[in-house]
Order: sequence, then structure tokens, then C-alpha cells
Amino acid sequence: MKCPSCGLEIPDDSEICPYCTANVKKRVRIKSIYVLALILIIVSPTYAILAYTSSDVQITPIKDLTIDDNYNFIHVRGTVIKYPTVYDSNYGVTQLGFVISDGTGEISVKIYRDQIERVVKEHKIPGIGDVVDVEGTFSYGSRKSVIVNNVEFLHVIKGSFEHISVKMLNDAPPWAFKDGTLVSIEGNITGVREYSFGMISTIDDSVDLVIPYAYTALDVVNIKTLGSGVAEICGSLKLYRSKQPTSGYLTVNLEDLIENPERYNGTNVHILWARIISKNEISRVIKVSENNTNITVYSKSGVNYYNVGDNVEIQGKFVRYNGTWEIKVTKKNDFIAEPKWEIIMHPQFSIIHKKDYREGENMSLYSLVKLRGIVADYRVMNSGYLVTLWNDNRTYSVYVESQKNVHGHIDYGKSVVVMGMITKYKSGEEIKVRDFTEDYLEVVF
Amino acid sequence: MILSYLLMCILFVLLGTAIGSLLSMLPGLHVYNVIGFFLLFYFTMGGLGMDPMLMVLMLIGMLVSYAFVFTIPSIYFSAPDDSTMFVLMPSQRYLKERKGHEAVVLIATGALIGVMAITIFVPIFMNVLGVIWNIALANMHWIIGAVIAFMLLSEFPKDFGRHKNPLHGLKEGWKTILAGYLTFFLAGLLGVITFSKTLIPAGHAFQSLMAPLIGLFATSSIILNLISKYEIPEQNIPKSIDAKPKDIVHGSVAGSIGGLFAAFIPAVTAGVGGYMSSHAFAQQGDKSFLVSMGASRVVYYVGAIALFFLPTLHLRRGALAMGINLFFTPETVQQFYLVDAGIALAGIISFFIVIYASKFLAKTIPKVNPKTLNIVVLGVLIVLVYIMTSWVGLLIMSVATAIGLVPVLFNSRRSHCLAVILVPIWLNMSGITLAPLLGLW
Repeated sequence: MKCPSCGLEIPDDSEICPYCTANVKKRVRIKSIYVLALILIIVSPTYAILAYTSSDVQITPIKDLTIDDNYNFIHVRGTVIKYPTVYDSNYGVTQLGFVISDGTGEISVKIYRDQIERVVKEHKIPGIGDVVDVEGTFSYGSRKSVIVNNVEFLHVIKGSFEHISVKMLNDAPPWAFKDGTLVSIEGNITGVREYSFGMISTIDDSVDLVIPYAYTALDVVNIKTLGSGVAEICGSLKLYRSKQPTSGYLTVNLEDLIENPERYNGTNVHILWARIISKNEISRVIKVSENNTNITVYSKSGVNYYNVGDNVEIQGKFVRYNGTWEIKVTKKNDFIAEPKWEIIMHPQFSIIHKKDYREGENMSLYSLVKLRGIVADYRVMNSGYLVTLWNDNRTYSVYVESQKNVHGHIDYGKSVVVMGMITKYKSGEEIKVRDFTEDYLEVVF
Repeated sequence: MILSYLLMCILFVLLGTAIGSLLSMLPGLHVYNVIGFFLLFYFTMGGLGMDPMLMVLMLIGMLVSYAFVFTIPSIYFSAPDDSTMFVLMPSQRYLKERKGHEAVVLIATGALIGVMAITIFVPIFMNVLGVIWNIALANMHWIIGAVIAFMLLSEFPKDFGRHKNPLHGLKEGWKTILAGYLTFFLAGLLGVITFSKTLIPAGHAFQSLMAPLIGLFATSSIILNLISKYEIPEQNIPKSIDAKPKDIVHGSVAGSIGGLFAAFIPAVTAGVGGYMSSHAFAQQGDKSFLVSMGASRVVYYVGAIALFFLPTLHLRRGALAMGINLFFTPETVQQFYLVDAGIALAGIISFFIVIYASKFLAKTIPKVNPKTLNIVVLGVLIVLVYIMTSWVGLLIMSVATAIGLVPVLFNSRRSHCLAVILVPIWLNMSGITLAPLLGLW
């Protein structure tokens, strides 16, 4: 017979192979090992079925998350209440974060490294007011945060945007909308200023648009594209108040005040919303109106800053002066402020009418123009230039927002080419060279 | 989870298994070298726009198939790595006794049971493992130190029989032991240099261990084959293996525990883990040892990744777990299920690939001139090292080969070569820095 191990011929009655010392009788059949492999054939589909059917992690209210949940895999859902921020370094954007609230508490959502690329690619960057459903690792520190290690577990449910006009928003009193209302607005980018948190652009010279730095850093919002025509921009509303009302002031409406002057005589009053109908810079007074009721407001610090037609909020003392009832803004907590609705941008916009720079044509408001001329005068401003240009027997006022948009050395008598937008300035118009757009001023010779 | 996603996951496991099986047939090419390139490509291409879990499953398929299939070049081409080095001696004996395929079946059986241990028993004992890990974590440098002590002391006692005179006996006794310690010292020094200073081009820094490991274990074995009159007889393909079920169970249990120990403790590789547990389990005979080495290897490589995904533990051990952690963090139980399903699937397929590849090679190898085969394998190794680590790598490989030949020439244990990994990691974990003393920093 043959040895089953080495295959050499051995005596028939051998128990041990004399060549390879293998036991000829007590052996394990290879096919029986194949049967063993069947166990894995059961194990693999079992785990696959478990993976397929395993239920989702239940949503936890944010207030219930404690230190005991540290590093646990959690599931939370809430509305974005703070716009996304990024940590930008020499290695690019390495952290993206935003804050959500579910009504019981707030939690920061953090996304790192390559997952940020996926968030951008899959259009999952949220804006204020969007609902976010997120699963990730909970981290309990100075503030609660959830780290999204797989973008698969991040779902952004976009809200619907109510279309409004620039005028409607400009005239809207503080109570017309709620903070966070999602809106879309149509207009031209007429100015861009850079801040540490991002940019503030102006839409049609009147509405401020806050563009969080995260959007430009991740290139989901491109200012050059945004400024290239009439854009439809999505965002959420926020009431901007340069001064916050303080206690000790009685909120009244003008009608009530004028009808009962003796009752309010000497009272510190708070007028929420009134329109300036006239001003006198020398006597430092403005006249404001609310529902056809007018009152004079005196400001110790002057009224140069305000324009007729502006809506203002006032805190001051209601007094009689030279036989006329007026509000005096003289003390520390007194103020005249302009509460304005501004838009915090969402990473969604579209250009509905692309514009080209045109030379020598009708210069209508918000058109993009290309103009050649000679520098008749120029002034260096904080960050840019104010240039008076001589062309075709008339002068043009050019405002350059940033010095970096001037190519070459500007000086009197130099020939320049300006690419910019016609914008409103006080009662007239000017050509504005907007920062971060395709606009520029080039010194030719 | 949707069905199409599950099917995609299965597809990527199969893809990884296919790639891993093909590449593991190449002697000297460690799966971690290949995975390094895959990760580099993956990051360069910005994640290829794919779900990272799919990439994870593909890499796991590659790892599982490597743990199985690398048995083939280790046995038939005599080109082992740091963990198959221990099976080189018994498997070459099997090869010379026309039982190369039987050796492969024994190792593959151990590996198959290793996969079962990972997919069935590890989840059951996950809480216990968590407790053990917390205890081990604080004492890691002592444990590695104990492993080193075991390796050094296991050289004693040696039976040298009778000698011409006591002095000759003393000389013969100490020659082997001192050669072993010299190997340990030189390999350890090479390890400290490799870990402290990147000698190869910076772009290939993640391949820095390739040249020392191939030199210590693979090229030294091939050179030994070339200088000794090494012949491969015609191989028999048996229908049964010379082992009792008890041998298989004994070997599998010892190997799985040794592999798990290695998966837990840094610097301890599958070979050392399996070798130590075979001592602990009083293992006797090559059959049980080969089974234990198969189990130990799989539990070490694949177990590390299972522990990484294991809920409550998420232990990041092994190059693949660290590589995966660069772009993926395991979180959910669902991911753990997927990983275990992938491991089991890749395990079954790899098992049959090993068996059929071995059958094919058992028939083919004897027809090839062993000298030619060894020269071809040596050529492949040199080309691989040159491509991946440049001529500097070849230089390091030559030094490592010389060190790897010391125990061969003086009949001491080749396991001392593992000092290349053990010593630098032990020093690092103990807070001892030798690099400035050696002028490396």
C-alpha cells in the first residue's frame, strides 16, 4: 500500500510510515475540514443579516447627554442656530463645526479632515435654520459636542425659503419677522467687506448679507460668481441692533406719547420704530414719524450720520423744550440706532442674470462698466481709494474698496481703466470697485 | 441599511480577497507594504468619492487573504516573514518528506479555526477583553520586557552531548547561546536605528521595516537554501492529514490564545505569541505546532482589526487598524457586524484558495530546479526592496541578511531576529531613548 501522507510504497500492515513517520491509521480526512469551513459559511451571512437588520440608534434629547455618554455613539436631531465655522491652517480646512439645538439644549457638531471634503461634495453644509440629523461620537467637555466620523450619518434637511424683495426687507419693522426665518432675495452685490468671521456684502446698497468664512474657505460660495450679476440668494434673517434696549425705559408708541404728554413728561422712553422725515444737522435734531404722528428728537452727539427715510429706534427722555415736546438723547444709555434685518447666507445661490462689463454704454444703476479716464484727484481711504476720474468732458466718482484691487501706482494725471459697478452714493451714483470680485482699477500709463 | 449597500460591501470584500490572494503569492511582499500604497492612492485621490466603509472592507479582505495565503511562499519558496519564520523548519521537513501540501493544510486548518475564534468567541468575550486590556495597558513595557526575557532564557538549557574535554563542552555550550545573544543584540540595534531614523527616501518612509524584515527572515533563508544542497522531492497530495482531532483542537486553542496575546501587546508578533503559547500549552509535535501557527497568525493579523471594531474596546493595534484610523473611526455595532461578516467571507474563500494553490504548486514545484527557484525568489525580493525603498533599502537588507545568517550558522534560534521590532518598541514604551546616544537625532 501507499503512505497516505508521502505517497511512498509501504508494507500493507504498517501503522507508521517508515519514510515520513506519519500515522497511517489515525488520520483526519481533508473533506471533514471542509465541513468545518461550513461553520464560517453560516457565520458570514448571519453577521450580514445582523448588519442589514440592526436598528438605528435612537435619538437622544441633548439635555440628557451627560459625562456617562462620553465617547458613546449618539444620535441627535436639531436646528442649526449658529452658522458653520472652520479651523483653517497651513494644511487647509481641518475642522468644520456648527451648533444645533433641539429645544432642550445645544450641541456642537464637528467634522474633521477628509470627511469635510465629503460634506462639501455631498452638499451637506448647513445654514442657520436647517434641521440636522446626526449620528456620531459624543464628547463631553466644556461644551457638548458630537464628532461626525462618517458623513453617511449626517443628514441636512433644508427648509423652504420665503421669497422677499430688498425693499420689503428694508422697510420691515423688528416685529415683521422672526430671527431665523428662511428667505430668498434677489439683488446685486454692491459692496464686500472682510471680517474675521467672514464677509459682509451689501445687496442693492441697502441689505447686509453675512457670508460666513466657512463657505468661502470651503469654496461653496464664490464671491466672484456671486458678484457677476443679479443673484438669488438664500439665507436666514437676523435682526441687527447696534444698541440693545436697556431697562428703565418705557416702551411707548408716538401716538400715545403725543396725546398724553403730561403723563410721560420727564419719563425715559423707548420708541421701537420710527421713520426720519427731516433733519437739521446744525441744531442736531431729527424729526421722526410713526403712523403720521411726528416728534422732534435732539441728539447731543449730532445727527450727521442719519438720513431722511431711515428707520430708527430711540431711547431718551421725553421733555418739553422751548414749548415743544421732544425726546432728548443725551445720557449714557440714550441712543438713536438703526435696527436692520440682515441675512445670514446659506450655501445656496444662483445667478439669474449674468452681467458683462460694458464700455461706453448707458450707465444704469447696478450695471457693470468698463471706463477709461485720467485721474483728476484721488484720496487714500482706510482700506481703499476715492478717485475722481476725468473722461469725455465729465468727471466720475470711483470708490475702490480695497487697495489690493488697484493694479499699478495711482497718481494724478495717470491714465487708468476701471472695471466696476454703478452703485448709489448719497443722492448720486459712483462706480464701485468691489473687493473679492472681478472688479479692478488698472493704471495704464 | 439598504440591500444594494450590503451587496457593495460583499463585492469589496471579494475584491480585497482577490487582490490580497494574488499579491500574497509574491514572496517577501508583506500585505502592509501593499496596504500602505493603497492608502496613499486613496488619500491622494481624495477618498475616490467612495464610502470609507467599502475601502475598510476591501483592506480587510486583503489582510485576511494575506494571513492565509502567505503560507504558500513561506513553505514552497522558503521566504517567510516575521510570523511564518517559526514554521519554516517543520514545514521544510514536511516538504522534504513529500508532505508540503499536508503542511499547508495543517496551517490553513489552524487559520480557519482562528477565523472562527475571531468571529464567534471574540464578540462573546468582549467585556472580558476590555477588562484585560485596561490591566495590560498600564503594564505594557513590563510585559514586553518579560517576552524578551522569555526569548533570551529559552536558549537554555542546551543538550550538547559528550565532549572531548570539559573546556570543549563549555565552548560548544556557550557558542550557540552567545551567537543567539549576538543576533539579538545586532537585530535590536538595527531596529533602534530603523525606528529612530528614516534612512530610506522620505516618500517611502512607511516601508522602512520592509528591508530589515526581508533581510532577517526571507533572504537569509534563501541564501541558506542556495548554499545547502536543497532539493524538493515530488509532492504527494493526500486525502487525509496525519493528525488526530485532539492535535488540531490543541494547536488551534494554543495558537488562538497566542495570536490574541500578540494582537494585544505591541511589538509581539504572531510567531512569538504562538511560540510562547505552544510552550504554555505544553505542545508536542510538528502537527499541532503548524496548526497553532496558522491560528496564531490569523488571530494576530485579523484579530487586531476585529478588536478595532469591537464595541466597547476599539483597540487600535496593528498597522491596518492605524491605517484605517487615518480616514475612518469605527462607531456602530452595524459596522462591527459588517466587518465580522467580511472576515468570515474572506476567511472561507482564502482557505480554499490556499488549498487549491497548494495543490497546484505541489504538482509544479518539484519540476522546477530548486536553485533556479531560489534565485528567482531572491531576484523578486531584491527588485521589490529596490522599488519600494531604493538602493539604501538594499543596503539595509544586506546588513539584515548578514544578521539573519548568524543564528543559521551557529545553530541558535532565529527568533532572536525579532529583536528588530521588540527592542525599539520596548525601549520606547519604557521611556528609554537610545537614538541621541547613537547620534541618530
